[in-house]
Amino acid sequence: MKRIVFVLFATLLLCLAAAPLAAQDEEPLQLTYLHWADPTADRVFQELIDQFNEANPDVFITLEGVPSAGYVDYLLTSIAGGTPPDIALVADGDFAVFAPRGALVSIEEFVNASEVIDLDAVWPSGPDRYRFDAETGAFMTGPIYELPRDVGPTALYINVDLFNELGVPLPDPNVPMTWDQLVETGIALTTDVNGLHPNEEGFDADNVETFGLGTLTVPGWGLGPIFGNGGHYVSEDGRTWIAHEDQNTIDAIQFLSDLNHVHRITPPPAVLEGINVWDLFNTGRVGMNWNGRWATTGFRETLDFEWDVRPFPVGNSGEIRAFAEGCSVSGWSGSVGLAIIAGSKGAEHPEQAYRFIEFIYGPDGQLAQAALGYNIPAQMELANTDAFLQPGQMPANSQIFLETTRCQLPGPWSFVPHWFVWQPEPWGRMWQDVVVDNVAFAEDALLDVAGDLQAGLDDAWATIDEQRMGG
Amino acid sequence: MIPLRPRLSQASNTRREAFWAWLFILPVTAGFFLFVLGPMLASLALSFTKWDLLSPAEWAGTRNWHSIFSVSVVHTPQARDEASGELLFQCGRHRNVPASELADWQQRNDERTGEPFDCRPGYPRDREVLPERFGVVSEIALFGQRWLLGARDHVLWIALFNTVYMLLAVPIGMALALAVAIVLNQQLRGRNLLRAVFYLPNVLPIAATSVIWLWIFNPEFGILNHLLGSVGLPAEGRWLSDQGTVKPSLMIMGIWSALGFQMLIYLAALQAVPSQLYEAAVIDGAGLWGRFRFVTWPSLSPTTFFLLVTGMIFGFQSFAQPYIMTRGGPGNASRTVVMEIWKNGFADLEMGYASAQAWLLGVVILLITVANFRLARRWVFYEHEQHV
Repeated sequence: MKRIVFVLFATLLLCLAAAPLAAQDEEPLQLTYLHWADPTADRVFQELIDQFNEANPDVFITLEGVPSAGYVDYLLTSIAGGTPPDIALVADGDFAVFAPRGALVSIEEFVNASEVIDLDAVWPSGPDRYRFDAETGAFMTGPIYELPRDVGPTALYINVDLFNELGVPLPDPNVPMTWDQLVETGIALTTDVNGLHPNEEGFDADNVETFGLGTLTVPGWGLGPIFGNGGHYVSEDGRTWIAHEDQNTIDAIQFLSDLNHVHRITPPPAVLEGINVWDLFNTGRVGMNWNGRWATTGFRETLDFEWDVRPFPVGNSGEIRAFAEGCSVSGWSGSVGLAIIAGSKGAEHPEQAYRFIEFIYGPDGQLAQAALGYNIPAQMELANTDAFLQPGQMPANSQIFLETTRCQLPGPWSFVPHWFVWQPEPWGRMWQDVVVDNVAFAEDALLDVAGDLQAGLDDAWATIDEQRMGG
Repeated sequence: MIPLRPRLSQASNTRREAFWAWLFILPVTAGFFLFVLGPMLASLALSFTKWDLLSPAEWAGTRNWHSIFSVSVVHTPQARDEASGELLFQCGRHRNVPASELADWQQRNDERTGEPFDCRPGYPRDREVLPERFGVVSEIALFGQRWLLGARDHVLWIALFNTVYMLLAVPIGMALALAVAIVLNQQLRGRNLLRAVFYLPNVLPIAATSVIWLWIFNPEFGILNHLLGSVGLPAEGRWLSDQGTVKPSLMIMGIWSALGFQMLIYLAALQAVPSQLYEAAVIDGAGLWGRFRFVTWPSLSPTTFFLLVTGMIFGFQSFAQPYIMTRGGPGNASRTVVMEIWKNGFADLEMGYASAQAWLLGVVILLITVANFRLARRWVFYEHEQHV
């Protein structure tokens, strides 16, 4: 009896062990791709994945989605728990958390050997933010770990109908406004219930019908005006906090405060509670609003007025910061990329996993996304065609996005580690005092928080350097 | 009756019963050991490490605990001009206004905003007087003197203060729930419908009710300010966007969402109060208040105690509402301890430190609960107890 059981058991074990060996030739390699779930993205990417799976019989990609709010928590815990996804979206702001800790697999050799990806033919600011040099601990240089799904530039969205209704001339689509022009346009677009403007006697600031410009409620959006005035947050090497010593940065923050408190062309904070400034724009009460290219897809479906885009204004210093040579527009762009996660099945089979990443970033994948209005094709050639520009659709001046994609800088989070950990709290205190409450000058408040910011920056670099020395 | 198992002895019967008892509580017990006690012990161990989730944990000794308890109180007098020795003031955004120019400033308006200057004593910058890397938890400024409470992890202590402050909502909410329960315990037309309506917030998802309350509190479009204005009350409240009103605002919402549950428990307890006690009280000449004070309230005290203890424990764990509605702002005015633990663990990747913070919170909850049980001896009456 015992012997029979043993034989049966041994046979079963052998079968189990042999099964994967025998099946490997026929069964495709199963890989998971984790992304930020939302209905549009799910639809677009499931379509792309179906195309990929059909063209690649040896790989089968399964889409997994987690809403962006809990996305990083999910990714971290799945890595810590030993069950990471094979391929995952890792945004430029999270890259510095994952790459230095060895959580991502370098794809340098595949990119170099690729016949599809030509890094000279794509917007350079895209892939560069996914480079990390483990030897020196520097970002934006060294081996590449991700290819971007997209690069999302930012611009000033304008309500064309409101401009026409109030008889305000539309700003030039190709030349950025100066700060003075921005204020002048903003005043003309701001009206109270009696039709008065903020510079007129008797203007009723408590009952404003239309606002000229959306407030920058999120302090992170200060980036646009700061870069547009040639300002810096940190030193070139990303290790020293310099915003409080940089007159261009100080002036930009003070200008943002003045928009609220002196010129009164932006919605005061009390109006914005519970709704965001984008909702005010959507309901036609804001003439101009800062936003990313990513808003376009939704705007096409929901806005019932004519809208367009303009480049960010240029500050009084006359200097702008840009990623490329010969740029006249400034601002910042965001990006998310696809990475192979270390310790996953994708890391064991990087060639197959990379093939999917390359597909999403390559011409076919990009064209499909652009056709759905989803993003700007990474290939510069491709972007400058009707496939992306889509004449006849709003915004009329979508070519602005080509120049902004070329010129806009990545946020400092791309070359400074753990930005979202140490920067928002002290920066938010400064922002509250200067821009929201107007109880301090930008110069003083920036100096007040400089020590905390430098301490946070030091801590962040210490973790990177420890990792480097330890590894 | 025919005994089902006549052959079994008493002892084996007990064993059998014990076996089944254990089997029945196994799912819960196993769940407790696997998902509660295990992680708890793990987090205690982790609180002595530095762990970023992505690389192996490193022993950190008591460093995390040392950071948490690095606090200090600093006293600073009003700032003086170094050269002249004059006292300095801050007027509007302008710092370092000497005392001799004060009267002049107070008569002027800010040339940029057109608003009059509000002048107050000026003090040295916080980071000039606090130990390195300390932040301000709280400050008291009186008669040109200022005391600063600083801490290495100032946000944690602010969050703990906020959390304890918002616990005030628990007794207030319970009083309201008791009042509603007493009313709905009467023979009223449509009381079942009303009971259901009061309980409704309890079955709605927090995410949905939070968004609704965001709109209610909106200063310009919100129904709250609109209603206040229509009855002639001041309608300028900035509610969630003002550091002074954000906590009470969140408490109002918290009371609203817990009311149904508390009311339901009180209602059940009210129906269990023996009617002969009321009859006896009436015979003794007790009025409405007397009956409440000497019959209802003592009879309900175990329920009140239960609601108080659980309410406070839930209150200490507050996370979802402030996270959805204010993200802890404005400033840090509505940040709670659990939000801070989450941020340290999952945003800062300081799991060891977050574990230490979680244990601090756990110990605070434990102490408050023990204190509650101690105090309960004085005011909670159980039916089987003999009291005169």
